[in-house]
Amino acid sequence: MTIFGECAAYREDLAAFVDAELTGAERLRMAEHLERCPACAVEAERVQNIGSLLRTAAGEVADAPPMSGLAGGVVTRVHAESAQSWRAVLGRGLDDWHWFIVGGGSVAATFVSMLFVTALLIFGSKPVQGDSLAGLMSSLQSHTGTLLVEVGGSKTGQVMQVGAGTSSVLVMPLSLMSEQDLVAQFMNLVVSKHGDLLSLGSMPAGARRDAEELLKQLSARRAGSAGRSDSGRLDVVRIRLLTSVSVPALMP
Amino acid sequence: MATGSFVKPVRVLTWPDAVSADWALVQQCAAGDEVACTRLVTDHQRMVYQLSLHLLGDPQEALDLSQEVFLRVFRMLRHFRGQSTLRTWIYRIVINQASNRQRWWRRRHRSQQVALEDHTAAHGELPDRRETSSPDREFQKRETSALVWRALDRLPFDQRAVIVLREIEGLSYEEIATSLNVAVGTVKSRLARARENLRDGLGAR
Repeated sequence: MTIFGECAAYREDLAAFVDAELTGAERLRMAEHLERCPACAVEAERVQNIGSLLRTAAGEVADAPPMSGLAGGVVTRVHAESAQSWRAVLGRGLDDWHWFIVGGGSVAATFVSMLFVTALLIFGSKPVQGDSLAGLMSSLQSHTGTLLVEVGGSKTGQVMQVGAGTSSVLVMPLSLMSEQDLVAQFMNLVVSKHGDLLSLGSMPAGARRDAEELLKQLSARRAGSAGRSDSGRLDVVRIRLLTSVSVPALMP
Repeated sequence: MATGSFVKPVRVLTWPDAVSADWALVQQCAAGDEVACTRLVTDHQRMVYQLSLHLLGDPQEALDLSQEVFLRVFRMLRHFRGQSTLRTWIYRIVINQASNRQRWWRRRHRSQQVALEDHTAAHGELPDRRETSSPDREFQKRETSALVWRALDRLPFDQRAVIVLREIEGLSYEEIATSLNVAVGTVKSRLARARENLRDGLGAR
């Protein structure tokens, strides 16, 4: 239906008038218009009718079922849910402070113990027992041993005992070298870096000559320090290196 | 001549009063006060149930929805800022929950809905409206209500929500706009369409 003239402006606000949503002045103007316009009055009544039909229909079914249990059920469920939330669990945990003290103390004690053990391992004294694992390893790593040299000649049956160790080769006349350096030089020649004792026969000629020269010099020194002027000639019968592993060495 | 005022000042419940009363109740509930929680439910349960019923049209569904609504109210309580009254805020939750349920319900049960023609075929014709003898009056009233419900049920959810809030719950345009989270202009246009469709559905009464 097309509305002409004055009505068109009022129709737009008709529902708002019925719903009491117009301001005082608008309301007054609408009321005056409805008094003189039957068409708009009928339309307003139709809008009102829809509302009253709805309210009547709502009244028919509005009898609410017994809802006494609703509040109790809802509140109980909400409380159960909030009791299980992580906030609640955390809150209860905070209430039981002693668990925090026990837990924190355990962690701190573990940490301190680990620090102590680590400090012992790093700064503690080296193991002194030879049969410990560390002792065995240090013994194996070292080339040091006791070199037993049996010499023949004028001093038949004499056994010289020298310490075997590694040392850098010194380039100087043998007469100027100390006894220790002589031993070191000898060891460099006859003891391989793996601890094997080389027989003089298997050495290259040059090395063998050096080794014999060193032994001679060594024997002279030992004989001299023992107060014997007669150094004589010493024949090496055999050399035995005593380490953790005995290595027999057959000399020619 | 100044005659003075003969009007006795009356203490009325103003907007700030209502909001601060709501706020206090909400604070108590949030703090876990069981009495306050129970009061919040009992104060609003009838309103929530009726709105649910008018939106869904099924008493059992409405009861289930009411329970869901209050659970949601308590879960969301921390988000209530007092920008609207508690009532409007709860209306909004009812609308949202009903809208969700409506979608789900329509999807699953649309095929099971009985058409009016099938219903009359099975249970006989609806009573003739011209037949207005006294013993049948009550019955006819019930039938009219049934027609209204059916017409209401055929409305899109948006239109049904707006007309239920206006005509049955008696909310102002402003309150409806807040409850539906739309502008007042949208409320007006939806209401007009809803009335138009309802009138068509009821045969231009």
